[in-house]
Amino acid sequence: MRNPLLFLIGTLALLLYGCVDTIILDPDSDPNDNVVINGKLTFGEPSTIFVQVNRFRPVDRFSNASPVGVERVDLIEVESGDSYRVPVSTQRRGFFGEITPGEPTISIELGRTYQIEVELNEGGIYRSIPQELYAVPQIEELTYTLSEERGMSPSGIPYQNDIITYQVRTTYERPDGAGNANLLWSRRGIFELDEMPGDDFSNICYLEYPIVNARTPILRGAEFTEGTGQSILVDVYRSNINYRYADGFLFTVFQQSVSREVVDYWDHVNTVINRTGTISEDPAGEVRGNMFAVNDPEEIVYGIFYAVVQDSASIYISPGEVGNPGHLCPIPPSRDPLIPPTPTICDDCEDLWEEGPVYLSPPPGWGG
Amino acid sequence: MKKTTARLLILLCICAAPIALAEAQSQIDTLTYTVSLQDDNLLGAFRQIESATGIRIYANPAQLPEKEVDISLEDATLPELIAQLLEGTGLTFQPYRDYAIVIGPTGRLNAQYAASYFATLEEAVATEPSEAERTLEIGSIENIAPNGQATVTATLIDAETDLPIVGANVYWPALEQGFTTDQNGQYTVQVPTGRYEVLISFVGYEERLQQIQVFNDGPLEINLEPRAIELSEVTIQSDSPEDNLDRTQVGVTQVDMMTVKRLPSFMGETDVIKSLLLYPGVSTIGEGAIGFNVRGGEVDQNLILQDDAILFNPSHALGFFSTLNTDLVQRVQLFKATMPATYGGRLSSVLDVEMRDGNFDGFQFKGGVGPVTSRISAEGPVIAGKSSFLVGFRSSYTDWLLRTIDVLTVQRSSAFFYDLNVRYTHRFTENHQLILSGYSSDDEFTYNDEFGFDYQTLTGQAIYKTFFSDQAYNRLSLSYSRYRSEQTDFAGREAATLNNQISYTRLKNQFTYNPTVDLTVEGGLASVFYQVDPGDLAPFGDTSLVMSRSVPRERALESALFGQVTYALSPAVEISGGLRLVHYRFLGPGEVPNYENPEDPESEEITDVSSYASGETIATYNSLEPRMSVRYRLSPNTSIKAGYSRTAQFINQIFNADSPTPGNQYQLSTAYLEPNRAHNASIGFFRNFAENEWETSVEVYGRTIDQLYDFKDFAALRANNNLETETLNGTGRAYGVEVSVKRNIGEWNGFVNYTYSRTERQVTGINRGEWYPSNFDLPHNLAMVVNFQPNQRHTITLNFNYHRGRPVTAPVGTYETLEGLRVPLYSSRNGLRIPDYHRLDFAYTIGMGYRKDRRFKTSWTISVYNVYGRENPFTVFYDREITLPGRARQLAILGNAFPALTFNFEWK
Repeated sequence: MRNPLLFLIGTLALLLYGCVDTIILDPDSDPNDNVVINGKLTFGEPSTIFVQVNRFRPVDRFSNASPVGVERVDLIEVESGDSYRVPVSTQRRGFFGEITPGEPTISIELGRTYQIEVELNEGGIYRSIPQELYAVPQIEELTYTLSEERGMSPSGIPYQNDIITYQVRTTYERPDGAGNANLLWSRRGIFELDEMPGDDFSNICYLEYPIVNARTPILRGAEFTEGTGQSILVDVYRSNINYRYADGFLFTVFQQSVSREVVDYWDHVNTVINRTGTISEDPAGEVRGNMFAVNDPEEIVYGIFYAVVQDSASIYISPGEVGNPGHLCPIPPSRDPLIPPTPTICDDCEDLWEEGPVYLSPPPGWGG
Repeated sequence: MKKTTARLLILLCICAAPIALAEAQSQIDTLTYTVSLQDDNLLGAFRQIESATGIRIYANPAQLPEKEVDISLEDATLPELIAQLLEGTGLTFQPYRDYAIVIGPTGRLNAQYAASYFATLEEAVATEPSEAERTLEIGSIENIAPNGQATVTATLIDAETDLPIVGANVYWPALEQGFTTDQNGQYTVQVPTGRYEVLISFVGYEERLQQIQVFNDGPLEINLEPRAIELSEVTIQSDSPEDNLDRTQVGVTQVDMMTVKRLPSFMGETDVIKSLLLYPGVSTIGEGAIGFNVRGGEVDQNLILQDDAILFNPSHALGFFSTLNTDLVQRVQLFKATMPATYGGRLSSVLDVEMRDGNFDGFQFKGGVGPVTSRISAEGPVIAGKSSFLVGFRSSYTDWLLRTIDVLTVQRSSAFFYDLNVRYTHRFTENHQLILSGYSSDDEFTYNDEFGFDYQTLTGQAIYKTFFSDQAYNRLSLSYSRYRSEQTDFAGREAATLNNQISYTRLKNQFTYNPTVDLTVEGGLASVFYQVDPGDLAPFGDTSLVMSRSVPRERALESALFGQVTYALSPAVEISGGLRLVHYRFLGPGEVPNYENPEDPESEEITDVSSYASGETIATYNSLEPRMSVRYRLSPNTSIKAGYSRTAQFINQIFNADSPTPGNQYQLSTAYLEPNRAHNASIGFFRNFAENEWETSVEVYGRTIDQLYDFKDFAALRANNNLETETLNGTGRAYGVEVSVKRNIGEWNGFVNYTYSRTERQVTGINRGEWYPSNFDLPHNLAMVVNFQPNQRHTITLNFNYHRGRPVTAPVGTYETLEGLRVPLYSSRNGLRIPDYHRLDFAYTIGMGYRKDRRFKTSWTISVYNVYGRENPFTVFYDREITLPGRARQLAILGNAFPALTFNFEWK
């Protein structure tokens, strides 16, 4: 061999990269049909309660195993027993209610504990473990950093990405001096969509969407030394810089104070979602949450109810700050003359309006 | 000619019938015999006559016609007997002096060859025969034991180094008994006086069929020559031909180092541990997994001994290579079930690796160069004939290769290891010997500057052997071992370093006594003092927010009193019974939390803490462990064996994954974490065919574990001071059948091993309390090795492995959060299986040259690992499409064929 080094390197490269293939794993039993109940009480003026009731979904399917009919959803203040019947919201595909300070049936206050109770048409009653509303430390600063990421996909293809990382500076101590807080961050983004870039008649709209990725940021207060007053910098979102940044991007983060079991829950969610299955990795567990069946303690119910007190901060990212990334549309035409030209309109603001929060004029905070 | 009145009665028949020797005289034509002789051919008949009379018969096999022998004579002289045998063959014979008979064509013998032939013959006969050709005498003819019984204490010696040969196999066909030499190269046998043939074999030495004349008690020294050419390697076996039938213990594997060196290996690195995986009942869950599993046991349930030192991690490079340097290994034995009472402290198995001494007479160097590793060893005398040294070093050099690859993540990765063995042996006298040895290894692995492991093993030991007599032997050893690991996450606010360490000091004394050939008594004491640092977590770098925490050092003392008696009730039946009494104390200083519910401790339910002073006992456990084996020879080529053992384990490696990482901590049994305990039982049927050319066996085994623990979902194990809050107690069981077919000799040889095995657990709180497969449940396991030796120097080896896919816990469904995030729901624990594993390897070895006078010898091995590029799954995962249905995917780490060229050399 003329170049033995090449041979050795090639061998090692094969060793390191391996091969990835799709396989079929047959489950040991049929998928179950368990109920999934998720609920969130957000303290504010007004406070909001949002509950969804679904069923378990087989891993390779879009739809649930079967529909679920709900008789009622109640929010209960544990100490007093006061309750609030949460109305149905077709737009939110669940149960949603706004509770003002003057609401006669229930009062939402810091330091109190709440739970939800759901009754299905078929008779099952489900309840959550009570959750307390804890005071939340304020966000001191929301910043971002830019970086470049080079790596190798599991299938051995090299890649290079421009990355933006949003960071929150905050203290982890509760403002009421009752120790360290358990924090959970939720995030939303708004980006500008130009239906036909370069076309004078193109519509422009601003799409808002919840940012959901494989790692929900959490902070477990018990892991930090108490009483230092120290501020820390927490990565709350890390993303590729893509077409959403082509005409500007508004990032909003909600810092939420929650109970330890809620942090545990999201920690477990992070674990199971990011699990890669290697032989040196801890086995996955069942993420159950804090719902249980009142009539049948053996029945398995998934989902979680949690009560949060939150603070928020926003930051606007102009295209120039992130290198003027390209638009989603139009898609570059093919060099093959036999292939018809690509459409110049790749999305429709009017259609999107029906799917979620879309603004036809710049939302508050847009442009910095 | 006057005939003697003495009479020799010989009753000769095929299959080595008993021979009665009445009296011998030297005159060929004056002795008379009563003969009953059967054999398939003339040559065989002549050999029987030689053996019975001591008269040598010279015949050219090519001149002997096919003739079946079946004659009976009374009061016949030897010439009469020979004449009868040669009748009708066209051959005649000529007595030569009083000790030989020459056979040749009729009419030509005297006419054409008389002068020169007999001159040459006289010269040949007059030449001092070699030891192998001579009949070795024990005692003398003037002093024949009156009771007709004699005790022979034989010692096997390496003819070149003058060292005793340990573990060699000696078979006495007339007794239908086999023996293995002890640490002094000795064994003792009690036999009726008379003439015997003894078959001696051991890896690396000539095979010897030795004639022995026993007159009375006495020593017997046999000097074996190391094999000079590979011709011997074809025929020599590691075990005596019937060792598999004779050995009392069931479930014992003696690894043939010659087979190990010929096997195809990953990156050309010969590997004892990987070769173990070819034996029935031994498995691994995949490439890159650390350690091995025996009969469904966990990795940390194997006691791995390098001489007297315990190895906690036998793997380099995260499991791709083992830490044992094959150039330095003398013997490897794996006890899969019924381990002798001298061993203890682990549930599943004992891997006893005995390292060899350096050469006492001359200097010698060995080495090898492979694609990613190299090794070299040196040995020689310090004081000629009295003391020797042996040094071996092995190292990888993947690091610089990684840096040449133009991929950033690879350039930022590194992998390096080395190991060093040092040994000094000193013989004060023939009866006193001291061995000092040490071992050190280091592994460093980092990936993309994101995370890394660094782990080291350090051992040192002193062994003092005393031989009080031929029947009594003592071995005293003091050993120390330390295993230290460091796992580091380099970046981010969670950057941290986790250190843990285990060290122990062990003192052991074992006394062996063989009052008779049928009885062996062994006994002794062993005491191990453990010190474990379960975890020390510290932030790494300035940006880390990790809070330092440390689990205090733990200490324990494990002491054992053991004894074992092996007794041969008859040539067919041998029993071995032992008892091991273990006393374990978990010692202070320490703080032990008290829980509201000690049966189900929760970290939120600590009521108070009990404090213990240094040396104070926190918890005590005792274990009474009977060990029993029995062997019954149903026939000369068939035996059945059965065994039982009780085992307990007081130390575990804490890992919740399928396979441990080097950084997983060790945990002693505490007040809350009770020791694991198991019952092991097995029974085996063994049968050899075609004069031991083929060996077959079927073994059935079962194991119940009446105390084990598993971990809760999402257990937090890192540096956890209250580990008991993360565990769940349960029971386990394992059972299976192992079938083995082996051809020992011939141009085509090798073996096929198949294992059906199950290993399951039942733990309250996991899978609703139902039985579930353990991580190592591999129901079907097939290993096949075929060697083809077209000539003595060249060997082609094919190795095929198959096993059922391992159990995994994988998603079967999802549910959505309020934000639309899909949370995967996993199957019951180990409810799914990944695709099956199979692999074919190939190796072509060009062995070292035949010429014994050459001081520098070389050999080459060309190997291909995973010939057909099977993409065996290492990892199974689901796409992280968090809002879409998922697809299962597998990652094959070694999804291609891996060729390697290895160069080995030897200089002496």
